[in-house]
Amino acid sequence: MSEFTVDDLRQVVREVAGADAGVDVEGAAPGATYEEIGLDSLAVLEIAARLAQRTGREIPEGLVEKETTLQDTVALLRARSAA
Amino acid sequence: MNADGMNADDAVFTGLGIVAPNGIGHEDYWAATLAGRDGITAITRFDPDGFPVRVAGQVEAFSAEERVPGRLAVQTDRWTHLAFGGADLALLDAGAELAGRPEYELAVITAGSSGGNEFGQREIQKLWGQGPQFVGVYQSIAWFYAATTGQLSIRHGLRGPCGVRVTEQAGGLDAIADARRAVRTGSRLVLTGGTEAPLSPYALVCQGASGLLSGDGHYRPFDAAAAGYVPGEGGAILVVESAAGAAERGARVYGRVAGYAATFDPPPGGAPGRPGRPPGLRRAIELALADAGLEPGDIGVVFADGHGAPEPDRLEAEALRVVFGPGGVPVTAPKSMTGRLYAGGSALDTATALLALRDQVIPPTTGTAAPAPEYEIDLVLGVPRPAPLRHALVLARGFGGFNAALVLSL
Repeated sequence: MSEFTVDDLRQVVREVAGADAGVDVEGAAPGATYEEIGLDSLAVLEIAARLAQRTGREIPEGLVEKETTLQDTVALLRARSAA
Repeated sequence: MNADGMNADDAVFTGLGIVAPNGIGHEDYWAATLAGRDGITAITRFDPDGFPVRVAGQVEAFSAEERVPGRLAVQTDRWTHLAFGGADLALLDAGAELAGRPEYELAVITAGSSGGNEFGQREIQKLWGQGPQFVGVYQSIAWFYAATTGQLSIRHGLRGPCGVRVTEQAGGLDAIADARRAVRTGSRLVLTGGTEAPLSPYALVCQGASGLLSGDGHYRPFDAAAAGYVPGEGGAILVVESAAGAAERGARVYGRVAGYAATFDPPPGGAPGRPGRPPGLRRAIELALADAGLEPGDIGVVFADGHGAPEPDRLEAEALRVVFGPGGVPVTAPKSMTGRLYAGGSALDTATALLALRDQVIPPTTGTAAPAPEYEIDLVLGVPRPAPLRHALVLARGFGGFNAALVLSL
């Protein structure tokens, strides 16, 4: 599997959040948190679940939260798939 | 009480948001209803072969993409989508600007009867097809009865009394009665009414268990050949305000809640220790009239529950005969054009009754060739009937024994 990128994550976020004029997933900086993109805690929970499905590995509670940035999420996934 | 017979804390209707199989928006719906235009068609969303009915009232013209923000659409069921659409139409019709108003004076009380069927089915299929970790997180907030009320509250900033009535077809009237109570206790504006989206495969199978769905694909209230009802989706969201609040902002008023009552039927086979206790519909009518301070002769039209099966039709006709006398009041059931919409049904009937009061015309019942003669009811058939109307009575019965009666007055 090719390495997971911020663009891949943006795709997941878009699926979970739905298209919305008020949310600019494409334009969100890698350093933006989910909260800053405008997502609530349920949406973040769903993103974590989808990432776990995609990588086949569970993401322990607390590692992907509203305050987590896109790039930190990608780094976490890469570290876990390398482990 | 002022010259119009209204009190400052009367609950008045100022906005109608109709999402019905035969029309979206109250003017389209009303034109279709007066013309007797049917919204019942072959089920197209999935192959209905082998299901208890193959036709339904479908709101095919409703587009969630157009009417629901994408973010909300993925979190909610079609039943909530229909309510979002209805609420927007109702608020637009009312000309009510909510921004800047004290949010604790704004309330939302809807009816829900089966929750987020389609959403729930999708997630149940993931649960058993793929595993629990594949069940989407929004299932937790999308399926349950109060989801529509909660989403409307969040979207429109309505932080006063919130509630949901789960009394099947009676729910729309019960919710409106709750809206009146909210107005009496200080709420200035209430979103109320209800919608339903009961046409997913799973939901239809559930409905089939009652044995009440039409065996021949026709819905003919009060016809001697009535063989059950056809289900439908949609409903109406209504804006209710205090008479004082509506007057203050110069809002157009369709009518007011003049009286209401709800009763409960004895269980099949009779209530323990109370043999012979009759079904509760007649009492609901009498209590609602008393609540309104009206006599039967004051009522210009009855919007019937119109179940469309011999036993419930006979019981409703008997209640009407006892209260109003044989053929004593014009009766109609325009839901013959939409099917029974469950939680959306009596909300839509209320909107329809308000339009009848506005235009002084009774919309027709379709499908029924003639009412069974022994029912002795004056059913308005085929074409609209002009009539002087000051007061209308809306009746609803919900599966499980719920009865509700609502009196609307100009």
